[in-house]
Parts: sequence; C-alpha cells; structure tokens
Amino acid sequence: MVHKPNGRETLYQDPIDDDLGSLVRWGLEDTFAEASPPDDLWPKIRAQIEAQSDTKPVSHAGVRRRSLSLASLVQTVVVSSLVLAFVLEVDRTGSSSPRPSADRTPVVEHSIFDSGPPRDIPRLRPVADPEPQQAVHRRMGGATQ
Amino acid sequence: MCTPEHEDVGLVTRIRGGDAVAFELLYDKYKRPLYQTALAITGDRGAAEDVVQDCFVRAYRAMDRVVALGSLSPWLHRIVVNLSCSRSSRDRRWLTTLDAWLERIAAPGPPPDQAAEQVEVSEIVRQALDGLNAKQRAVIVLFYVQGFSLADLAFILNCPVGTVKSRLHYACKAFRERLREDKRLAGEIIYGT
Repeated sequence: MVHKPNGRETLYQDPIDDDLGSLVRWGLEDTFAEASPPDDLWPKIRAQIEAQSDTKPVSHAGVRRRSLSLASLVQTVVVSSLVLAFVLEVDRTGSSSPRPSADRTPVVEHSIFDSGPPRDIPRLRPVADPEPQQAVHRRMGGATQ
Repeated sequence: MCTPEHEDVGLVTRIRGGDAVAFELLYDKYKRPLYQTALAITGDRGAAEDVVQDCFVRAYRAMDRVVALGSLSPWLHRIVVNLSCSRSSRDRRWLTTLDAWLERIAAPGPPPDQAAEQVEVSEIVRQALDGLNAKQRAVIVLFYVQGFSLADLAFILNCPVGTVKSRLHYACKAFRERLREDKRLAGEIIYGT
C-alpha cells in the first residue's frame, strides 16, 4: 500500500521533485506493496510480551533498585566498620607505646614490697650471735650495782 | 463512524485495560506500513521482521505513557525508524534477498514488456536508495512512500521541521545523483529537463 504525499506540502511542489516522488513511488511500489510480515510474527510478539509480563520487568527494576540501595547500605556498614577498626587500632597502638618509667615504677615497687616477708613474723636469731647487751641506762643520781 | 485517529485512542484505552484483542487489532492495522518502512531502511526481510517485533513489544510496554490524541502511526513509525537506523548502522545490509526476487518473478503481473520495465525501474530505484545512508532512506521512504507530512516527519525523526526539509532536500539530491549514475534511466526525471 503506497500513499501519495500530502498535497499540502509546499516545499516539494517543484515538478522535478514531483517526478522524483513519482519515480520513487512507482519504483518501490513493486518492492514494498506486497511486502508484509509473516503470519508467525504476531505469535512471536505475543509470546515475548507474555514472557516479559511473567518476569515482571517493573518489579525487576524495583529489585534492582532495592538491591542497589542494599548494596550501598552494606558498603556504608563495611566502610564504617573499617574506619572504626582503624580508629580503635590507632588508639590501642597509641596506648601501648612505651611510657615514662615513672609511670610503671610504683607497680614494680609494690610487687617487690609485697613479695617480702610479712612484718609480723619474728625474726630468728642465730645462737652464735648473742643477744646484744641491752644498754644500761643509768639514771642520773641512781644507785650503782 | 469512528475515524482512524479516534479508533487508535480507543484501542489505547482498551490495551491499557488489559485487552489483548485490542493490541492485536493495533498490530493488524499497522503491521504492513511498519514492515515496509523497516524493510526499506534495513533492506533485509529478517531484519525488518525483528524491527517490527521489537517495535510492538516496546509499544506495548510504553502504552501507559503514550499520549494518544490521534493516530498512533507517527509514534510507531518513530520507533521503527529508530530501531531500523540503529540496526542498519550496525549491520548495513541493503541486499536484495533471493526470495524477494523469486516472489516477484513468480507473482502474476502485467504483460511481459511492462513487467520487465517495472522490474528494471524498481531495481534502479532500489540501487539508488541503496547508495543513501539509513537516515536519508528513512526520510525518502516516509515522505514519498508512506506519505507523512513534514510535521509528522519532524515528530518521527525527532527534529525541527526545518531540519526535515534540509534532510529531505539533501536526500533527494543524493538520490538524483545515484540515479544519474545509472544509464538505464531516462534523463528527464534525473536532470529535470
């Protein structure tokens, strides 16, 4: 089915172009007039549409959008975790760095002090070591033994 | 009586409501001109079938968004032209398929002399059309064969009317040059004498 161009077009009212149009129409009429899609094309189209309706392309887009937001959420969580871990690591590393000895000395001294013998246990004295003479206290003006 | 434009509006309404019969009516109404346009641009029957199939699948998916105020022909042709041009630029085949020629030879037609002349002219025109690029073929076929107005062409080709005129002018010029190179055709049409 070949149509004639609308006569309202003013640009191509030139007789040369009219002849050209006639030639094109006449030449292509034989080629395209009988051209028609095969009968089995419509079942193909219907099958493709039904297949796409079954898979629901709209919901696919929704799933894609949802998965995209989920991915960004996971990404955010992972990045946040990494940043947090890095900060904690830095903090831990900073606290385990060597400090001035004055900070640690009391702990050591305390442990040494604690490891000593209890104060309430009486000391044993060797036999050879006589008991030291007690100092005679002389009272001024007292009697002499 | 319902005009074709109003008929399309009604079909769109029914298709939106899930009426499969309405969509089949739309297909039956436009399958031939769409197929002819696709065949003219791609030059291959298989490619034209693929284009028409893809066109109707896309049209069905976009049915909720289309603004149906009149005929759907320009809108459907716009889809077909875009698909055909992209396909033609990807796989440029403007070859006369064997079955097309066999169909033409086998088909009953005018007397032998007239038929031979018609076949020769067709061949010349097709070869001249072959020398054009896809966009030039599209504008010539849409204007001269399908009979679209310049305004419709502007919508189909998605460009201003002035650009349509320019494209048509250069397409016709290139087409005439191709015809001029063929010595089998009389000169009065080509040279305008």
